[in-house]
Amino acid sequence: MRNESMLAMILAGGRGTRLESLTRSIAKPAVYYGGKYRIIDFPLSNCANSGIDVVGVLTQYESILLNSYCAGGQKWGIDGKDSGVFILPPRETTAGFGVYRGTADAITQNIDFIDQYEPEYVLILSGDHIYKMDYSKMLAAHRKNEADVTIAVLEVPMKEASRFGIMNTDENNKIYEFQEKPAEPKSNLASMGVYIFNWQLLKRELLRDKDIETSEHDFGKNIIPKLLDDGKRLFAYQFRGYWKDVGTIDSLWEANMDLLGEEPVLNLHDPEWKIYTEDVNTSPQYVGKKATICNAYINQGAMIEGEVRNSVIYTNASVGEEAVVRDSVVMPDAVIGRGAKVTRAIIAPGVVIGDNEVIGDADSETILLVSNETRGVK
Amino acid sequence: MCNAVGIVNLRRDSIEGIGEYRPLGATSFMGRYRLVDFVLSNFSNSNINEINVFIKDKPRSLIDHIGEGRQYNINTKSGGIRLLGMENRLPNEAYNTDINAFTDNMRYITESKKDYVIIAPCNYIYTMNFEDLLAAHVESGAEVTVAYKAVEDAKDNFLGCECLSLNTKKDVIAFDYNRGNSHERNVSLETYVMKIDVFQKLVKEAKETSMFYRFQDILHDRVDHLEIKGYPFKGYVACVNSLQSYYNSSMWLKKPEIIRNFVDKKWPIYTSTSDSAPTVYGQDAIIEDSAIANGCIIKGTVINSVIGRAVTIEEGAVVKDCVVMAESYIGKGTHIEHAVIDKLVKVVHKTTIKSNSSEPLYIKKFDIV
Repeated sequence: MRNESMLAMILAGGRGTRLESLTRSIAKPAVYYGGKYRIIDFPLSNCANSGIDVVGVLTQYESILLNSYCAGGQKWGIDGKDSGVFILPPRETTAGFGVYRGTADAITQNIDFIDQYEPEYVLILSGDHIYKMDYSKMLAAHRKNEADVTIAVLEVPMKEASRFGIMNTDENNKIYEFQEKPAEPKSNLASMGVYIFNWQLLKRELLRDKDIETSEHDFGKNIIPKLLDDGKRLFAYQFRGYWKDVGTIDSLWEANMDLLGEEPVLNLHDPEWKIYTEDVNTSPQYVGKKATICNAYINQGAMIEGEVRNSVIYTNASVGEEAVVRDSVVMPDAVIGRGAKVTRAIIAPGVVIGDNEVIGDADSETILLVSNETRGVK
Repeated sequence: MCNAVGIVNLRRDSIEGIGEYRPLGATSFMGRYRLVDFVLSNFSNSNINEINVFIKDKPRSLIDHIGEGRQYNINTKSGGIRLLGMENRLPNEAYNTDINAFTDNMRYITESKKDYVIIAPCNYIYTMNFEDLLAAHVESGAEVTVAYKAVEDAKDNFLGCECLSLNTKKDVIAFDYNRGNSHERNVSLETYVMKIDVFQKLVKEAKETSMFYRFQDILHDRVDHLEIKGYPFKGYVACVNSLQSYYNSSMWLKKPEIIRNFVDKKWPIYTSTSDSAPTVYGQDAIIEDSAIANGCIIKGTVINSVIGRAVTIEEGAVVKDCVVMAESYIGKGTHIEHAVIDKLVKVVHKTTIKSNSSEPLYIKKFDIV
């Protein structure tokens, strides 16, 4: 590592069960988002843009795709001589086959990896959040506060606060209390699952926690409360901006809709903070003679002959003549046949919607996921 | 691996206006490519991984674009793309021929363990498997093989291109250039295959004949003494050697039924990514029959056009029958027809720009209109 002595570890083992068939055979961080990205492109691009040189990616559930996707780090330009993105699945040791028993345990099992770089700080991230954040500013606050731990927090609506880990802080942002999903929250500062730890302190704590049988080896449940009890200096760092944990089909759809509009809630066109991803070789998108496009987000390789309204169309997807796609998300290589109507739906990668088929309903409360699995297509 | 070294040759051709800013190969094409991507992808897809790209002037944009060449799917240790300059440039342009560039760099070509060389231009757009071309060359026993395309529109198209006269055995009996005198011509793709020692010999002979000779000149001179075969190519071809042909080719390739003959999952055209987000279309956008690259913000009207990366078209603006290159800005209330707009142009004043002839209008890089 070069200047800033901070290494990042991305927890990317999440199953994302509530994303249904989208995560049947890939981990949640590998799910497609926003026309061309996978969710993990966001923390990785944030690392690249924050000047972090070494990133470990901790994979576990359905890790094959994620492992090959992240390997090398070239896609995000984290590929200099002393840099890299390193895939860290559980390994076999003399004690047997490893499994990551919790978020903290995943780091414990890779203490040797981190020690190679002798970092002063370790940044812990989640691989399944969509946001743009400069971690170097968070590190500056961590240093200024002479903190042991800094936790990024986001203001959430008070009525939703009980879904999150809530930080109660004093006027200097010092955390005096942490409540995991409190029934009656005292504040609305929710943890984003983004932590900076002084490495030596975290390492001691992890080694201590590792052998405690009652521990779930989890940052939120075990490590953070223990450090707070021990009187360590924990600070909140308030993040202002877009942040989304896409846990469900509805929230994945919402996150896509957040890209639309004149002043989108999430703007990915900022040349100062690009989100990097795999470069797919396709021709430019083509919009045909009879097409109508209104308020849409469309990626290269897409072929639009019909009508697209309030929708996100991914790489190489196509919309046939007289088809209408409204309030929907059409993932890579999906085909919307001639005259088909798709409303309030997510069409999974590679799904073929037949001519004149009608999918979804403008009045439905929830978003319909259409995948080859839901359609019984192999 | 294919038993050939690839050479992307220097060109005399230059596109009016556009050529002031970059070598021909670095010219942006179809919104997201550069011209050189097509020939480099042909080499890569044909399993040729020793590629030499010759550059004469203004190398910056081409060096930036090609870089290490990893994006072309070439493993950089077992092969690579080498950018070769002209070592001994002279103030008189007539001296700065491909022959002189080859002579300056001959050792880097002859040191290869491959037996053959394939020389191809950067401004002919086609997708050809060079392994088939090489196999046909070896099979025929000819000393040189030239790929050509029999066309029926040579009066309007391929003007200035090398043409072949062939006998029934496909031997080349004469070369000339297309002056637009007849419809049917065998248009040379200026793509040649030969043994490296034949190449070396021809370069030497050219140099000895005239300091102003180019590789084509020596081939044309030797047509009676060398065994030169024509290799008929049946696929689609576009040649970009003028502003008009650049414009026409862009409009032709824009059609989905055409571009799909060039860009295909099995024959990808590689380029370097600019990491742009998908293109965003506004509430009142009207788009018809257009090819659009990523990273654009389109709120106005785009009809029958090719739009490059990260172009902004504001509401109320009309862009019709145009080619717009990357990062240009078309402001509110402007109306542009039949123009080629170079990179980073800002059309900010309420203007109407229309070409009044058959020629497209060209707007220079960085211009504010």
